[in-house]
Amino acid sequence: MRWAGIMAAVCTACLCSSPTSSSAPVTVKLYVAATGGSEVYVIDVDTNAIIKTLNVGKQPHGIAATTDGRWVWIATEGDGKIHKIDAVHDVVTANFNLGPYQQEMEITNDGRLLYTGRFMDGCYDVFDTKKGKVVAHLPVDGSPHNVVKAANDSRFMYLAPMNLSPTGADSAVAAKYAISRGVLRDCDGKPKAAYTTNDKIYVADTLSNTIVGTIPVGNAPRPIVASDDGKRLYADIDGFLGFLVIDTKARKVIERVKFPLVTDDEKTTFSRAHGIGITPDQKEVWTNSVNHGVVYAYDRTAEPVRLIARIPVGASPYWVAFSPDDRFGYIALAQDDAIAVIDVATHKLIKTISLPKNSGPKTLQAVAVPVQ
Amino acid sequence: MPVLFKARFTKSDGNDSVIPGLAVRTPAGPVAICTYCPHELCVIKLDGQLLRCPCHFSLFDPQHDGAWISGPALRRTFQLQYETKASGLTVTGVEADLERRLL
Repeated sequence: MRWAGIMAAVCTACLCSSPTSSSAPVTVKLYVAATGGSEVYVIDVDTNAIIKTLNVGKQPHGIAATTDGRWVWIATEGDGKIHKIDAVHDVVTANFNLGPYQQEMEITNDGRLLYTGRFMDGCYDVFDTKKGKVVAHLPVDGSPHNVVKAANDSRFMYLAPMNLSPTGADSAVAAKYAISRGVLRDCDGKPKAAYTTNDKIYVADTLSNTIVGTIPVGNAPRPIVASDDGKRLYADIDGFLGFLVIDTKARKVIERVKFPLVTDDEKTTFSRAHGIGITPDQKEVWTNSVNHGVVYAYDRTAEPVRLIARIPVGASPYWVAFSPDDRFGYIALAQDDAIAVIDVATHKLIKTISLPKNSGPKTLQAVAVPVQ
Repeated sequence: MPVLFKARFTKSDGNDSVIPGLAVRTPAGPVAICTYCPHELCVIKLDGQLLRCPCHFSLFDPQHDGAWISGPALRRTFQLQYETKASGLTVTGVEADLERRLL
């Protein structure tokens, strides 16, 4: 009993000392969208234990947290809704029906505008969280999938629609199939007559809620991430086993970084890059080779970027997140229904958090939640 | 009992490629199918009697030549050419669409 009391005191101290942008006490929680089911798992990063399971709706996919950590928004692909979660108490407080195939989301720093994509509709929606309704549509080529902002300034959102299939020819076949079944639509919900593949990142201005530019990337962009200062984007794209470095001011690719293939297995087995993140101290960018089971860490403090670690995780890494204090990297292992925990300082895999069978964890985000 | 395997072959560009596969007994005899999902080439895995892609959850039926059941793959699994003998099953070729994706 005495030990239990001491441990509780130590843990409380840990929770209250987690660093964030303010000195207010916070607790850090990892939100994991279990796309294989209907749940969002809330994990305590100090214990790596699931502390809450939220049944939000079929195929949770997108996660966006307000900068104060008070609210977390979840998009559910299967039922086309977005859900507002009170992150202090981990309860769903509201949900809104925005249409099917909701994907990734991002929210402006004032918490007002939520940018979210409808995969089958070639359309990003701008949802006003105060009014509780969509206030703008942004039609794009391809199939809306990802959207990011720079943490320090959310003036611009970077929209990254992918394609129905990773190759142009296959995408055309898939589009023909989808059009024949009436599942491809435009922003207004009308059936599409044709499908245009995408090979660029769109720049949306959150003041006008309009597209103000594009960045050609040569193939369909997949997960992307912005540096906190907004000067750089890093992008996985289809058909390239590596990632791109993008100058956002010039709106052009300045570097193509190819993963080094070391083992015979890596040289002979197909893989693709999926999942990318920047450590909170802004020094490193991490991204994954899915079928090779390797996470790569690159030093981004100088350009060209420099490989500093390759981290085998023994499974298929898919999405990336970091704890706000820079101690841990979290890698979703969708195939193994688990989360890999990597020590950022040593680049070593230190733990695997198991989730229920067929939960299919994908996007995940560590959020510093205020203690109340 | 289904058996997972890997098959190595030389592509038309001269480079070797290793593909994952599954051999399964069906009422019509042993069948070998590629376990790359035709959607994004994630490696699909057995989930009970079916094959399930962990990336986007397409479902396939290995008892019916990898027939597509649901999900974004929109087609059956890539087909393999193979020979069966008493000593086992030997993969002799891959579907052209798969090789094209691997080039």
